[in-house]
Amino acid sequence: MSDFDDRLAALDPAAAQPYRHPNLDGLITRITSQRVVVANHAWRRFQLKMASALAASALLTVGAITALQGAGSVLPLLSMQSTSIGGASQTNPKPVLGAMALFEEYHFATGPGLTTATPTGLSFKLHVPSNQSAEALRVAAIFGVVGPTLTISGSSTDTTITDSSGRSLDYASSALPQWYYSLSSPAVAPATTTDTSNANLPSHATLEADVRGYLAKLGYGYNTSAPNFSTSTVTTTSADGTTQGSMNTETVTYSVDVAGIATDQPVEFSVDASNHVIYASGPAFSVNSTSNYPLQSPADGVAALNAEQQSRFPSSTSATTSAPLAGPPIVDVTLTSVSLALATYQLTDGTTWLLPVYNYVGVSSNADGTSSTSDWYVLAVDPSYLQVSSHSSGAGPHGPINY
Amino acid sequence: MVSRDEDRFTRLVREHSPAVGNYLRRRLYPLSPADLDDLVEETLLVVWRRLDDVPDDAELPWMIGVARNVLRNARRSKNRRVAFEATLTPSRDEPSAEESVVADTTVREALSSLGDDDREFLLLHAWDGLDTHELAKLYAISTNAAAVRLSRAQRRFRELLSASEDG
Repeated sequence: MSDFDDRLAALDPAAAQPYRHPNLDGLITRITSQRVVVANHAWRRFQLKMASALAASALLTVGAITALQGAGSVLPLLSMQSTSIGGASQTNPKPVLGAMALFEEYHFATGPGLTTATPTGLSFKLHVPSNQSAEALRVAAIFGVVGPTLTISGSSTDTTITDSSGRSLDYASSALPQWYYSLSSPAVAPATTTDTSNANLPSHATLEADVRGYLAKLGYGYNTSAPNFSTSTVTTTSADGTTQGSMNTETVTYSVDVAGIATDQPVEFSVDASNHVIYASGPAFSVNSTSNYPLQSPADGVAALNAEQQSRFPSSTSATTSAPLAGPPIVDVTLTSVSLALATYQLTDGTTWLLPVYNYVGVSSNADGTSSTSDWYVLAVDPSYLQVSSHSSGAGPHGPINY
Repeated sequence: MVSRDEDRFTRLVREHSPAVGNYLRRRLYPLSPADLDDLVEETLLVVWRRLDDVPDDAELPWMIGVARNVLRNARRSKNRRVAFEATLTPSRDEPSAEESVVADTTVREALSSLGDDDREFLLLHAWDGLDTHELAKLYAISTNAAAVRLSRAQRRFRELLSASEDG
Protein backbone atom coordinates (compact mmCIF):
# COMPACT_ATOMS: atom_id res chain seq x y z
CA MET A 1 0.00 0.00 0.00
CA SER A 2 1.71 3.18 -1.16
CA ASP A 3 -0.77 5.86 -0.22
CA PHE A 4 -2.40 5.43 3.14
CA ASP A 5 -3.98 8.88 3.02
CA ASP A 6 -5.86 8.01 -0.14
CA ARG A 7 -7.04 4.79 1.42
CA LEU A 8 -8.27 6.59 4.48
CA ALA A 9 -9.94 9.28 2.40
CA ALA A 10 -11.72 6.64 0.36
CA LEU A 11 -13.38 5.45 3.56
CA ASP A 12 -14.63 8.88 4.56
CA PRO A 13 -18.21 8.21 5.69
CA ALA A 14 -19.22 11.74 4.69
CA ALA A 15 -17.82 11.51 1.17
CA ALA A 16 -20.69 9.50 -0.21
CA GLN A 17 -23.26 11.58 1.60
CA PRO A 18 -21.94 15.13 2.07
CA TYR A 19 -23.80 17.14 4.64
CA ARG A 20 -26.35 19.60 3.38
CA HIS A 21 -28.67 21.42 5.73
CA PRO A 22 -32.27 21.04 4.61
CA ASN A 23 -33.05 24.73 4.98
CA LEU A 24 -29.96 26.86 5.11
CA ASP A 25 -31.74 30.14 4.42
CA GLY A 26 -34.20 29.49 7.21
CA LEU A 27 -31.35 28.54 9.52
CA ILE A 28 -29.49 31.79 8.80
CA THR A 29 -32.61 33.86 9.32
CA ARG A 30 -33.45 32.06 12.53
CA ILE A 31 -29.99 32.58 13.99
CA THR A 32 -29.36 36.15 12.86
CA SER A 33 -32.70 37.20 14.28
CA GLN A 34 -31.29 36.43 17.72
CA ARG A 35 -29.38 39.39 19.06
CA VAL A 36 -29.72 38.35 22.67
CA VAL A 37 -27.84 35.33 23.89
CA VAL A 38 -30.38 32.73 24.90
CA ALA A 39 -30.36 28.98 24.99
CA ASN A 40 -31.48 27.99 21.52
CA HIS A 41 -34.20 25.52 20.91
CA ALA A 42 -31.84 22.83 19.68
CA TRP A 43 -29.82 22.83 22.84
CA ARG A 44 -32.99 23.02 24.89
CA ARG A 45 -34.20 19.87 23.20
CA PHE A 46 -30.99 18.13 24.23
CA GLN A 47 -31.47 19.32 27.76
CA LEU A 48 -35.03 18.07 27.84
CA LYS A 49 -33.97 14.73 26.46
CA MET A 50 -31.50 14.37 29.29
CA ALA A 51 -33.67 15.67 32.09
CA SER A 52 -35.11 12.38 33.24
CA ALA A 53 -31.74 10.68 32.99
CA LEU A 54 -30.11 13.31 35.16
CA ALA A 55 -32.76 12.89 37.81
CA ALA A 56 -31.93 9.22 37.96
CA SER A 57 -28.26 10.10 38.08
CA ALA A 58 -28.70 12.25 41.15
CA LEU A 59 -30.39 9.41 42.97
CA LEU A 60 -27.56 7.06 42.16
CA THR A 61 -24.98 9.55 43.35
CA VAL A 62 -26.72 9.96 46.66
CA GLY A 63 -26.91 6.20 46.93
CA ALA A 64 -23.19 5.93 46.45
CA ILE A 65 -22.50 8.47 49.17
CA THR A 66 -24.82 6.73 51.56
CA ALA A 67 -23.10 3.44 50.96
CA LEU A 68 -19.78 5.03 51.73
CA GLN A 69 -20.97 6.52 54.97
CA GLY A 70 -22.38 3.19 56.00
CA ALA A 71 -19.03 1.58 55.45
CA GLY A 72 -17.38 4.12 57.71
CA SER A 73 -14.48 4.60 55.34
CA VAL A 74 -11.88 7.26 55.92
CA LEU A 75 -10.85 7.36 52.29
CA PRO A 76 -12.24 10.34 50.41
CA LEU A 77 -14.52 9.78 47.47
CA LEU A 78 -12.87 9.78 44.08
CA SER A 79 -14.96 12.37 42.30
CA MET A 80 -14.91 12.23 38.51
CA GLN A 81 -17.05 13.22 35.59
CA SER A 82 -16.94 9.82 33.95
CA THR A 83 -15.54 6.43 34.68
CA SER A 84 -14.89 5.94 30.98
CA ILE A 85 -11.41 4.79 30.10
CA GLY A 86 -9.89 6.64 27.18
CA GLY A 87 -8.24 4.99 24.23
CA ALA A 88 -8.92 1.73 22.54
CA SER A 89 -7.00 -1.46 22.78
CA GLN A 90 -9.22 -4.16 21.47
CA THR A 91 -6.82 -6.59 19.96
CA ASN A 92 -9.17 -7.86 17.31
CA PRO A 93 -11.79 -5.23 16.59
CA LYS A 94 -14.83 -6.63 14.98
CA PRO A 95 -16.04 -5.30 11.64
CA VAL A 96 -18.93 -2.92 11.63
CA LEU A 97 -21.92 -3.59 9.49
CA GLY A 98 -21.62 -0.53 7.31
CA ALA A 99 -21.71 3.21 7.57
CA MET A 100 -23.53 4.43 10.65
CA ALA A 101 -24.04 0.87 11.84
CA LEU A 102 -23.93 0.41 15.54
CA PHE A 103 -21.68 -2.10 17.16
CA GLU A 104 -22.71 -5.39 18.55
CA GLU A 105 -24.18 -5.84 21.99
CA TYR A 106 -21.86 -8.03 23.98
CA HIS A 107 -23.01 -10.57 26.52
CA PHE A 108 -20.22 -11.49 28.88
CA ALA A 109 -19.83 -14.81 30.64
CA THR A 110 -17.18 -15.84 33.10
CA GLY A 111 -14.96 -18.63 31.82
CA PRO A 112 -13.68 -21.44 34.04
CA GLY A 113 -10.17 -20.07 34.07
CA LEU A 114 -11.13 -16.70 35.43
CA THR A 115 -10.04 -16.16 38.98
CA THR A 116 -12.70 -15.05 41.41
CA ALA A 117 -10.36 -13.78 44.10
CA THR A 118 -10.40 -10.02 44.62
CA PRO A 119 -6.87 -8.67 44.29
CA THR A 120 -5.47 -5.63 45.99
CA GLY A 121 -4.29 -2.74 43.91
CA LEU A 122 -2.94 0.65 44.76
CA SER A 123 -4.20 3.96 43.41
CA PHE A 124 -1.67 6.66 42.62
CA LYS A 125 -2.19 10.39 42.81
CA LEU A 126 0.22 11.96 40.33
CA HIS A 127 2.35 15.04 40.42
CA VAL A 128 2.55 16.81 37.08
CA PRO A 129 4.87 19.73 36.38
CA SER A 130 3.17 23.00 37.26
CA ASN A 131 5.29 25.27 35.08
CA GLN A 132 4.75 24.29 31.46
CA SER A 133 7.43 26.41 29.86
CA ALA A 134 10.03 25.60 32.50
CA GLU A 135 9.43 21.88 32.14
CA ALA A 136 9.51 22.18 28.36
CA LEU A 137 12.89 23.91 28.52
CA ARG A 138 14.20 21.28 30.93
CA VAL A 139 13.14 18.38 28.73
CA ALA A 140 14.38 20.20 25.64
CA ALA A 141 17.82 20.57 27.16
CA ILE A 142 17.95 16.84 27.94
CA PHE A 143 17.36 16.09 24.27
CA GLY A 144 19.91 18.66 23.18
CA VAL A 145 17.50 21.30 21.97
CA VAL A 146 19.70 24.12 23.20
CA GLY A 147 21.55 27.11 21.90
CA PRO A 148 21.47 30.84 21.73
CA THR A 149 18.79 30.98 19.05
CA LEU A 150 15.99 28.92 20.53
CA THR A 151 12.55 29.67 19.20
CA ILE A 152 9.83 29.29 21.79
CA SER A 153 6.20 29.34 20.74
CA GLY A 154 2.90 27.91 21.79
CA SER A 155 -0.10 28.62 23.93
CA SER A 156 -1.39 28.07 27.41
CA THR A 157 -1.61 24.35 26.70
CA ASP A 158 1.41 23.79 24.49
CA THR A 159 5.01 24.93 24.28
CA THR A 160 7.28 24.21 21.33
CA ILE A 161 11.00 24.86 21.54
CA THR A 162 13.02 24.72 18.32
CA ASP A 163 16.74 25.22 17.90
CA SER A 164 18.60 26.56 14.90
CA SER A 165 19.11 23.09 13.44
CA GLY A 166 15.39 22.33 13.42
CA ARG A 167 15.32 20.02 16.42
CA SER A 168 12.21 20.59 18.45
CA LEU A 169 10.60 19.70 21.73
CA ASP A 170 6.86 20.00 21.98
CA TYR A 171 5.35 19.91 25.46
CA ALA A 172 1.59 19.57 25.69
CA SER A 173 -0.15 20.31 28.96
CA SER A 174 -3.20 18.26 29.77
CA ALA A 175 -4.41 16.16 32.65
CA LEU A 176 -1.26 14.17 32.04
CA PRO A 177 1.28 16.31 30.13
CA GLN A 178 3.19 14.75 27.24
CA TRP A 179 6.55 15.60 25.68
CA TYR A 180 7.46 15.01 22.05
CA TYR A 181 11.02 15.35 20.73
CA SER A 182 11.76 15.42 17.03
CA LEU A 183 15.13 15.67 15.33
CA SER A 184 13.64 17.72 12.54
CA SER A 185 10.43 19.38 11.58
CA PRO A 186 8.59 17.26 9.04
CA ALA A 187 6.94 20.09 7.13
CA VAL A 188 5.89 17.49 4.63
CA ALA A 189 4.67 14.30 6.21
CA PRO A 190 7.02 11.45 5.39
CA ALA A 191 6.02 8.18 3.89
CA THR A 192 6.91 5.23 6.05
CA THR A 193 7.34 1.67 4.99
CA THR A 194 8.11 -1.25 7.19
CA ASP A 195 11.29 -2.93 6.12
CA THR A 196 12.88 -5.46 8.38
CA SER A 197 15.71 -6.26 6.00
CA ASN A 198 17.72 -3.17 6.83
CA ALA A 199 21.06 -3.79 8.43
CA ASN A 200 23.37 -1.57 10.44
CA LEU A 201 20.76 -0.27 12.80
CA PRO A 202 21.50 -0.17 16.52
CA SER A 203 20.72 -3.36 18.37
CA HIS A 204 17.72 -3.65 20.61
CA ALA A 205 20.03 -3.63 23.61
CA THR A 206 21.61 -0.38 22.44
CA LEU A 207 18.25 1.23 21.92
CA GLU A 208 17.04 0.09 25.32
CA ALA A 209 20.16 1.54 26.91
CA ASP A 210 19.45 4.82 25.11
CA VAL A 211 15.96 4.90 26.56
CA ARG A 212 17.12 4.09 30.05
CA GLY A 213 19.64 6.91 29.85
CA TYR A 214 17.12 9.48 28.75
CA LEU A 215 14.51 8.39 31.28
CA ALA A 216 17.07 8.64 34.06
CA LYS A 217 17.85 12.21 32.99
CA LEU A 218 14.17 13.06 32.80
CA GLY A 219 13.83 11.88 36.37
CA TYR A 220 10.14 11.20 36.48
CA GLY A 221 10.73 7.95 38.31
CA TYR A 222 8.50 5.66 36.33
CA ASN A 223 9.68 2.40 34.80
CA THR A 224 8.99 0.80 31.46
CA SER A 225 8.11 -2.70 30.35
CA ALA A 226 6.95 -4.76 27.40
CA PRO A 227 9.22 -3.30 24.71
CA ASN A 228 7.91 -3.60 21.18
CA PHE A 229 10.52 -3.09 18.44
CA SER A 230 9.99 -2.20 14.80
CA THR A 231 12.23 -1.25 11.90
CA SER A 232 11.13 1.26 9.31
CA THR A 233 12.38 3.19 6.34
CA VAL A 234 11.20 6.78 6.43
CA THR A 235 11.23 8.64 3.13
CA THR A 236 10.71 12.38 3.25
CA THR A 237 9.26 14.07 0.22
CA SER A 238 8.92 17.75 -0.56
CA ALA A 239 5.70 19.44 -1.51
CA ASP A 240 6.36 18.91 -5.24
CA GLY A 241 6.72 15.21 -4.68
CA THR A 242 10.46 14.94 -5.04
CA THR A 243 12.24 12.68 -2.63
CA GLN A 244 14.40 14.47 -0.11
CA GLY A 245 15.91 11.39 1.41
CA SER A 246 15.36 8.12 3.16
CA MET A 247 16.28 7.09 6.64
CA ASN A 248 16.28 3.72 8.33
CA THR A 249 14.98 3.83 11.87
CA GLU A 250 14.65 1.45 14.77
CA THR A 251 11.74 2.17 17.09
CA VAL A 252 10.83 0.83 20.50
CA THR A 253 7.56 1.41 22.31
CA TYR A 254 7.20 0.65 26.00
CA SER A 255 4.38 0.57 28.45
CA VAL A 256 5.02 2.89 31.39
CA ASP A 257 4.91 0.99 34.67
CA VAL A 258 4.19 2.24 38.17
CA ALA A 259 4.93 -0.09 41.07
CA GLY A 260 5.26 -2.94 38.61
CA ILE A 261 1.82 -2.42 37.08
CA ALA A 262 1.43 -1.46 33.43
CA THR A 263 -0.31 1.84 32.77
CA ASP A 264 -2.11 3.21 29.74
CA GLN A 265 0.85 5.51 29.07
CA PRO A 266 3.46 4.69 26.38
CA VAL A 267 7.05 5.81 25.90
CA GLU A 268 8.43 5.71 22.37
CA PHE A 269 11.91 6.21 20.96
CA SER A 270 13.22 6.02 17.38
CA VAL A 271 16.89 6.11 16.42
CA ASP A 272 18.72 6.18 13.09
CA ALA A 273 21.65 4.06 11.98
CA SER A 274 24.01 6.34 13.87
CA ASN A 275 22.00 5.89 17.05
CA HIS A 276 20.79 9.48 16.96
CA VAL A 277 17.35 9.88 18.51
CA ILE A 278 15.00 10.81 15.67
CA TYR A 279 11.86 10.90 17.71
CA ALA A 280 10.84 10.36 21.30
CA SER A 281 7.70 10.87 23.32
CA GLY A 282 6.27 10.07 26.70
CA PRO A 283 4.33 11.38 29.70
CA ALA A 284 5.54 13.89 32.26
CA PHE A 285 4.58 12.80 35.75
CA SER A 286 5.79 11.37 38.98
CA VAL A 287 3.88 9.66 41.75
CA ASN A 288 2.72 12.10 44.42
CA SER A 289 1.00 9.76 46.87
CA THR A 290 -0.43 6.27 47.12
CA SER A 291 -3.82 5.13 48.40
CA ASN A 292 -5.24 1.70 48.95
CA TYR A 293 -8.80 1.97 47.73
CA PRO A 294 -10.73 -1.30 48.02
CA LEU A 295 -11.49 -2.98 44.73
CA GLN A 296 -14.65 -4.61 43.54
CA SER A 297 -14.33 -8.28 42.69
CA PRO A 298 -13.55 -9.41 39.14
CA ALA A 299 -17.02 -11.00 39.10
CA ASP A 300 -18.58 -7.65 39.95
CA GLY A 301 -16.51 -6.18 37.16
CA VAL A 302 -18.06 -8.65 34.72
CA ALA A 303 -21.49 -7.73 36.00
CA ALA A 304 -20.58 -4.12 35.42
CA LEU A 305 -19.61 -4.89 31.84
CA ASN A 306 -22.95 -6.57 31.23
CA ALA A 307 -24.91 -3.79 32.90
CA GLU A 308 -23.06 -1.24 30.80
CA GLN A 309 -24.03 -3.08 27.64
CA GLN A 310 -27.66 -3.18 28.74
CA SER A 311 -27.58 0.55 29.38
CA ARG A 312 -26.10 1.24 25.95
CA PHE A 313 -28.71 -0.86 24.23
CA PRO A 314 -31.94 -0.38 26.16
CA SER A 315 -34.81 -2.55 25.16
CA SER A 316 -37.22 -1.29 22.56
CA THR A 317 -39.91 -0.98 25.17
CA SER A 318 -37.86 1.42 27.26
CA ALA A 319 -39.58 4.74 27.75
CA THR A 320 -36.25 6.54 27.55
CA THR A 321 -35.35 5.23 24.11
CA SER A 322 -35.64 8.08 21.65
CA ALA A 323 -33.06 7.24 18.98
CA PRO A 324 -34.35 5.40 15.93
CA LEU A 325 -31.91 2.55 16.32
CA ALA A 326 -32.17 -0.99 15.11
CA GLY A 327 -31.29 -3.64 17.61
CA PRO A 328 -27.64 -4.61 17.45
CA PRO A 329 -26.52 -8.17 16.86
CA ILE A 330 -25.66 -10.07 20.00
CA VAL A 331 -22.14 -11.37 20.49
CA ASP A 332 -21.34 -13.80 23.28
CA VAL A 333 -17.98 -13.24 24.97
CA THR A 334 -16.38 -15.69 27.37
CA LEU A 335 -13.89 -13.93 29.62
CA THR A 336 -10.95 -16.22 30.17
CA SER A 337 -8.50 -14.21 32.25
CA VAL A 338 -8.19 -10.97 34.18
CA SER A 339 -5.29 -8.85 35.30
CA LEU A 340 -4.80 -5.47 36.90
CA ALA A 341 -3.59 -2.43 35.01
CA LEU A 342 -3.56 1.29 35.72
CA ALA A 343 -5.48 3.89 33.75
CA THR A 344 -5.29 7.66 33.85
CA TYR A 345 -8.17 9.63 35.34
CA GLN A 346 -8.55 13.29 36.06
CA LEU A 347 -10.74 13.96 39.08
CA THR A 348 -13.05 16.91 39.34
CA ASP A 349 -10.63 18.64 41.70
CA GLY A 350 -8.12 18.75 38.85
CA THR A 351 -5.80 16.10 40.23
CA THR A 352 -4.62 13.29 37.99
CA TRP A 353 -4.58 9.70 39.16
CA LEU A 354 -3.59 6.29 37.94
CA LEU A 355 -6.41 4.03 39.10
CA PRO A 356 -6.54 0.24 38.97
CA VAL A 357 -8.62 -1.25 36.19
CA TYR A 358 -9.45 -4.84 35.38
CA ASN A 359 -8.12 -5.97 32.03
CA TYR A 360 -10.21 -8.94 30.94
CA VAL A 361 -9.28 -11.08 27.99
CA GLY A 362 -12.29 -12.57 26.27
CA VAL A 363 -13.07 -14.77 23.32
CA SER A 364 -15.95 -13.63 21.12
CA SER A 365 -17.95 -16.15 19.16
CA ASN A 366 -18.74 -14.65 15.78
CA ALA A 367 -21.78 -15.38 13.68
CA ASP A 368 -19.63 -16.91 10.93
CA GLY A 369 -18.29 -19.54 13.30
CA THR A 370 -14.95 -17.87 13.86
CA SER A 371 -13.76 -16.43 17.15
CA SER A 372 -11.63 -13.48 18.10
CA THR A 373 -9.83 -12.37 21.22
CA SER A 374 -10.35 -8.95 22.72
CA ASP A 375 -9.41 -6.93 25.76
CA TRP A 376 -12.07 -5.39 27.97
CA TYR A 377 -11.45 -2.85 30.69
CA VAL A 378 -13.45 -1.70 33.67
CA LEU A 379 -12.52 0.50 36.60
CA ALA A 380 -11.67 -1.83 39.45
CA VAL A 381 -12.14 0.59 42.35
CA ASP A 382 -15.12 -0.30 44.53
CA PRO A 383 -17.96 1.86 43.12
CA SER A 384 -18.95 2.98 46.62
CA TYR A 385 -15.75 5.03 46.63
CA LEU A 386 -16.62 6.83 43.42
CA GLN A 387 -18.69 9.93 42.93
CA VAL A 388 -19.46 10.69 39.32
CA SER A 389 -20.46 14.31 38.94
CA SER A 390 -23.58 15.25 37.07
CA HIS A 391 -22.52 18.58 35.63
CA SER A 392 -20.54 19.63 32.60
CA SER A 393 -17.22 21.41 32.87
CA GLY A 394 -17.32 23.15 29.52
CA ALA A 395 -14.50 22.92 27.01
CA GLY A 396 -11.91 20.20 27.20
CA PRO A 397 -8.17 20.58 27.59
CA HIS A 398 -7.43 21.13 23.92
CA GLY A 399 -10.39 23.32 23.14
CA PRO A 400 -9.05 26.76 22.28
CA ILE A 401 -12.58 28.02 21.84
CA ASN A 402 -14.72 28.34 24.92
CA TYR A 403 -18.21 29.61 25.01
CA MET B 1 -31.14 46.26 5.81
CA VAL B 2 -28.54 43.53 6.13
CA SER B 3 -25.73 44.34 8.54
CA ARG B 4 -22.09 43.64 7.94
CA ASP B 5 -22.24 40.99 10.65
CA GLU B 6 -25.11 39.25 8.91
CA ASP B 7 -23.23 39.38 5.63
CA ARG B 8 -20.20 37.79 7.15
CA PHE B 9 -22.19 35.20 9.05
CA THR B 10 -24.13 34.28 5.92
CA ARG B 11 -20.89 33.83 4.01
CA LEU B 12 -19.41 31.71 6.80
CA VAL B 13 -22.48 29.51 6.85
CA ARG B 14 -22.60 29.04 3.10
CA GLU B 15 -18.86 28.38 2.81
CA HIS B 16 -18.26 26.26 5.85
CA SER B 17 -21.49 24.68 7.08
CA PRO B 18 -21.05 21.67 4.74
CA ALA B 19 -17.58 21.04 6.20
CA VAL B 20 -18.88 21.51 9.73
CA GLY B 21 -21.76 19.15 9.03
CA ASN B 22 -19.40 16.58 7.56
CA TYR B 23 -17.12 16.88 10.58
CA LEU B 24 -20.05 16.21 12.88
CA ARG B 25 -21.46 13.41 10.74
CA ARG B 26 -18.14 11.55 10.87
CA ARG B 27 -18.07 11.69 14.64
CA LEU B 28 -21.74 11.57 15.52
CA TYR B 29 -21.87 8.21 17.27
CA PRO B 30 -23.28 7.50 19.85
CA LEU B 31 -25.74 10.28 19.10
CA SER B 32 -28.55 9.75 16.69
CA PRO B 33 -28.35 10.87 13.03
CA ALA B 34 -31.51 12.77 13.82
CA ASP B 35 -29.42 15.04 16.05
CA LEU B 36 -27.08 16.14 13.26
CA ASP B 37 -29.00 19.22 12.14
CA ASP B 38 -29.44 20.30 15.75
CA LEU B 39 -25.70 20.05 16.34
CA VAL B 40 -24.94 22.05 13.21
CA GLU B 41 -27.40 24.71 14.27
CA GLU B 42 -25.98 24.83 17.77
CA THR B 43 -22.50 25.26 16.30
CA LEU B 44 -23.59 28.06 14.01
CA LEU B 45 -25.42 29.78 16.82
CA VAL B 46 -22.14 29.90 18.76
CA VAL B 47 -20.43 31.28 15.66
CA TRP B 48 -23.06 34.01 15.48
CA ARG B 49 -22.65 34.87 19.15
CA ARG B 50 -18.89 34.95 18.82
CA LEU B 51 -18.63 36.39 15.33
CA ASP B 52 -16.06 38.97 16.32
CA ASP B 53 -13.78 36.23 17.57
CA VAL B 54 -13.72 34.23 14.34
CA PRO B 55 -10.22 34.75 12.93
CA ASP B 56 -10.07 35.75 9.28
CA ASP B 57 -7.17 33.43 8.59
CA ALA B 58 -8.62 30.38 10.30
CA GLU B 59 -12.37 30.44 9.90
CA LEU B 60 -12.88 26.73 9.30
CA PRO B 61 -10.55 25.49 12.06
CA TRP B 62 -12.28 27.88 14.46
CA MET B 63 -15.72 26.63 13.47
CA ILE B 64 -14.60 23.01 13.73
CA GLY B 65 -13.29 23.84 17.18
CA VAL B 66 -16.75 25.05 18.14
CA ALA B 67 -18.34 21.97 16.58
CA ARG B 68 -15.98 19.79 18.58
CA ASN B 69 -17.06 21.46 21.82
CA VAL B 70 -20.73 21.19 20.90
CA LEU B 71 -20.29 17.52 20.10
CA ARG B 72 -18.33 16.94 23.29
CA ASN B 73 -21.07 18.47 25.39
CA ALA B 74 -23.77 16.48 23.63
CA ARG B 75 -21.81 13.27 24.07
CA ARG B 76 -21.14 14.11 27.69
CA SER B 77 -24.86 14.42 28.29
CA LYS B 78 -25.41 11.10 26.57
CA ASN B 79 -22.58 9.50 28.51
CA ARG B 80 -23.88 10.84 31.79
CA ARG B 81 -27.14 9.12 31.20
CA VAL B 82 -25.44 5.86 30.32
CA ALA B 83 -22.91 6.04 33.13
CA PHE B 84 -25.36 6.85 35.83
CA GLU B 85 -27.88 4.30 34.81
CA ALA B 86 -25.24 1.64 34.95
CA THR B 87 -22.87 3.11 37.58
CA LEU B 88 -19.98 1.55 35.77
CA THR B 89 -17.57 2.22 33.03
CA PRO B 90 -17.90 1.70 29.32
CA SER B 91 -15.35 -0.89 28.32
CA ARG B 92 -12.10 0.38 26.94
CA ASP B 93 -12.65 -1.39 23.68
CA GLU B 94 -15.65 0.75 22.86
CA PRO B 95 -14.98 2.06 19.36
CA SER B 96 -14.59 5.74 18.79
CA ALA B 97 -17.13 7.61 16.74
CA GLU B 98 -14.79 7.51 13.78
CA GLU B 99 -14.27 3.77 14.04
CA SER B 100 -17.97 3.12 14.17
CA VAL B 101 -18.50 4.38 10.63
CA VAL B 102 -15.52 2.75 8.95
CA ALA B 103 -16.43 -0.46 7.21
CA ASP B 104 -12.92 -1.55 6.17
CA THR B 105 -12.04 -4.03 8.85
CA THR B 106 -8.30 -3.63 8.45
CA VAL B 107 -8.37 0.15 8.57
CA ARG B 108 -10.79 0.04 11.48
CA GLU B 109 -8.46 -2.25 13.35
CA ALA B 110 -5.58 0.14 12.80
CA LEU B 111 -7.68 3.12 13.85
CA SER B 112 -8.86 1.24 16.90
CA SER B 113 -5.30 0.64 18.02
CA LEU B 114 -4.31 4.26 17.49
CA GLY B 115 -4.40 6.64 20.44
CA ASP B 116 -7.23 9.14 20.62
CA ASP B 117 -5.03 12.15 19.89
CA ASP B 118 -3.28 10.43 16.99
CA ARG B 119 -6.58 9.33 15.50
CA GLU B 120 -8.05 12.80 15.71
CA PHE B 121 -5.02 14.40 14.08
CA LEU B 122 -4.96 11.76 11.37
CA LEU B 123 -8.62 12.08 10.46
CA LEU B 124 -8.83 15.85 10.72
CA HIS B 125 -6.18 15.81 8.01
CA ALA B 126 -7.40 12.89 5.92
CA TRP B 127 -11.15 13.42 6.18
CA ASP B 128 -11.66 17.06 7.09
CA GLY B 129 -8.80 18.29 4.95
CA LEU B 130 -7.11 20.43 7.58
CA ASP B 131 -3.46 21.14 6.80
CA THR B 132 -0.79 21.61 9.43
CA HIS B 133 -1.44 25.35 9.60
CA GLU B 134 -5.13 24.78 10.25
CA LEU B 135 -4.44 21.99 12.73
CA ALA B 136 -2.14 24.36 14.55
CA LYS B 137 -4.91 26.95 14.73
CA LEU B 138 -7.43 24.40 15.94
CA TYR B 139 -5.19 23.08 18.70
CA ALA B 140 -3.59 26.44 19.52
CA ILE B 141 -0.14 25.01 18.94
CA SER B 142 2.70 25.91 16.61
CA THR B 143 2.65 24.79 13.00
CA ASN B 144 5.82 22.87 13.71
CA ALA B 145 4.19 21.03 16.58
CA ALA B 146 1.18 20.23 14.44
CA ALA B 147 3.43 18.87 11.70
CA VAL B 148 5.28 16.69 14.18
CA ARG B 149 2.07 15.30 15.67
CA LEU B 150 0.50 14.68 12.28
CA SER B 151 3.61 12.94 11.07
CA ARG B 152 3.70 10.80 14.18
CA ALA B 153 0.04 9.86 13.81
CA GLN B 154 0.52 8.95 10.15
CA ARG B 155 3.57 6.88 10.90
CA ARG B 156 1.86 4.98 13.68
CA PHE B 157 -1.20 4.38 11.55
CA ARG B 158 0.87 3.08 8.65
CA GLU B 159 2.78 0.78 10.94
CA LEU B 160 -0.40 -0.57 12.49
CA LEU B 161 -2.00 -1.04 9.10
CA SER B 162 1.06 -2.78 7.71
CA ALA B 163 1.30 -5.03 10.73
CA SER B 164 -2.36 -5.91 10.42
CA GLU B 165 -2.14 -6.71 6.73
CA ASP B 166 1.09 -8.62 7.11
CA GLY B 167 -0.43 -10.63 9.92
